[in-house]
Amino acid sequence: MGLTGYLLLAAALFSLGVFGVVTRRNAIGVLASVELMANAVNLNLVAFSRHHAGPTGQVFALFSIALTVAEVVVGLALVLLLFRAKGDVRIELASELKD
Amino acid sequence: MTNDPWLRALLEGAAVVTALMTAVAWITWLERKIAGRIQSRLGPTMVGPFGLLQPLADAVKSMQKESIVPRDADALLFWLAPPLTLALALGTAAVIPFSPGLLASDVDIGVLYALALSGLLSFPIWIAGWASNNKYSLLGGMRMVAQGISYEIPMVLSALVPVVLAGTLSMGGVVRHQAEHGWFVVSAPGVGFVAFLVFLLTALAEGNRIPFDIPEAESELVAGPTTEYTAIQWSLFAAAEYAHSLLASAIAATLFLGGWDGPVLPPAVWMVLKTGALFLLITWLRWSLLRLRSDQLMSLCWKLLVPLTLLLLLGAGTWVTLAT
Amino acid sequence: MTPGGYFFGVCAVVAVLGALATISARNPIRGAMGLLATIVGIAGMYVQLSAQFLAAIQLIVYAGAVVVLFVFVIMLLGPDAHGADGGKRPGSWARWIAAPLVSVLLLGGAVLLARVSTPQRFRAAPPGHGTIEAVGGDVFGRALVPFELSTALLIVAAVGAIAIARSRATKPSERPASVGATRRLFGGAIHPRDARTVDDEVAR
Repeated sequence: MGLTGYLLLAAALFSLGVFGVVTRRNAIGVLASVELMANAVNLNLVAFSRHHAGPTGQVFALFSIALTVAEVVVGLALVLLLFRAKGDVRIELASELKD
Repeated sequence: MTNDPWLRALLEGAAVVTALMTAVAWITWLERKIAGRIQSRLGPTMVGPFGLLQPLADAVKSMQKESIVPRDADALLFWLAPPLTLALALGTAAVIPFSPGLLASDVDIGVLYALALSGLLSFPIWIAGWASNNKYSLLGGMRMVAQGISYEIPMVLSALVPVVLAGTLSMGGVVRHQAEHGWFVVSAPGVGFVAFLVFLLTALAEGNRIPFDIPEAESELVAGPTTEYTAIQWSLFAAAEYAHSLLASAIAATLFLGGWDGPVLPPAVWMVLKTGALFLLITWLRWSLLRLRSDQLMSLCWKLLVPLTLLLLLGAGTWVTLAT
Repeated sequence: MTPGGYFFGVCAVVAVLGALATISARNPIRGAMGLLATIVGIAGMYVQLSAQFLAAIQLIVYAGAVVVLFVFVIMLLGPDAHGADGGKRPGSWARWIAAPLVSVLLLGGAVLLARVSTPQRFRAAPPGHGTIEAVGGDVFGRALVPFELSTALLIVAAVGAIAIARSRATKPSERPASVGATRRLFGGAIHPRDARTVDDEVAR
């Protein structure tokens, strides 16, 4: 199995993630879809690391994982806050600047 | 032997799983015998000599029982949880070296792999608790996840002590280092021994054995996440619990007690002896100790074990620096 | 087809099915389980790309921490965490046109590029590729400064998350008694599927 297969699969996962981010109204669902996109990107990085036979892509993916964790921690804390303020987790409730 | 690496891997995996499941079956017999003796009973005596055929009878019994899925359960996840639990529990066996030549795969991240699977183990149990649609199951499942992710931290940190001492993450490498320089439980004064105790304690908590069996505390939660399970599915959970205890003993023996290293007897025998001794210790604890409360469990983990293991890691690093 | 190809196929199917569940599940727990399947599928691919270290990290960090975090938040919110999808909302039709359009364009572009370019096969991996030595050498060598910065980022994220989650809006006295967290978790429906009936009973 060559590079192309991995890239196609990553593209598929990324487009599914985009679809989820745009259509989900549940803030948790949106965050999960963002995770899908991040995973697709990581898969690309690792596949290219294998293609170029060097560790750089894997190191990049490692940092990307750390960044995603930080993002999801803050994101879920915000979801909790949204829920406490509005009693619901629909993402459009977060569109007002003041409650 | 065949040369196809995939076929070989498949065959070796099947052999290891078969051996393990056989061991697990008779370990249930052993545990019941010991439990009986500790409580001044005889344990199983009826089926076969000394009740030795009891596991077979149990297996037949659980297979012919009816598997019940509660009406309002999430059927898909309810069905998936038991085999997933057992698969994760058995998966650790792939990296345990039973003797110098007998090791399914000596990957360079063996320790990390074993810890990753052990950390994931609370997940299918939680799924079981959630999918059962029963408040006792759900409470048990949530306790399982809370306990699992909390104790994973001191477990990883204490397992890193032998990794730092040996300078490798490969299970085989750790054992080879101990065979040359002495077992970690006695070398590196104090550090190895305390790390060994902490690792055993956290392994008990990950496998939710007494004194850490809060997720399935039968006096308050019926049977925790497994309340709604019957027949063969319940047996899968039970087998997973025993397999996890057994493999955790094997990992502790590998990391701290020198694995297959030992005089006179062949290496594999030493490995089995050490694993068996640790498993007996766990069983003995199970029938001697009381159960902790949830808050005691958490304060033990975060206030004592985590700082302690961080100090141990520092001590191990200092020891290695001084020794070289 | 080689066994490696089959392995890739299995991982790909698991990952895509998991992704479909993640974006389509009504029930947020099912969604989180879909995400878990995708993560495990991708970890399998990392193994096949001989990035074993990254595969273990993927399992520990994503499956062991991120999905657990999702699950915890969903449990904390209780049945109200679901049921937010669907229903009318301003401008929703535009999304339902835009979303498939973007996805199809992205995927179509990728497939088109794959068709016109020559298929790339991997060369044999050099010994030591993807081992902890190779990755660690790079992390603590060339990437040392970003590595230290990322530790700072993680600390800041953890502190920030705690600060956000326990801000002033959480005073228990300001919360309406009927939607107390305890009732939502255990006094109410255990299974999100029952949320409607139990809440109706409470209303009555």
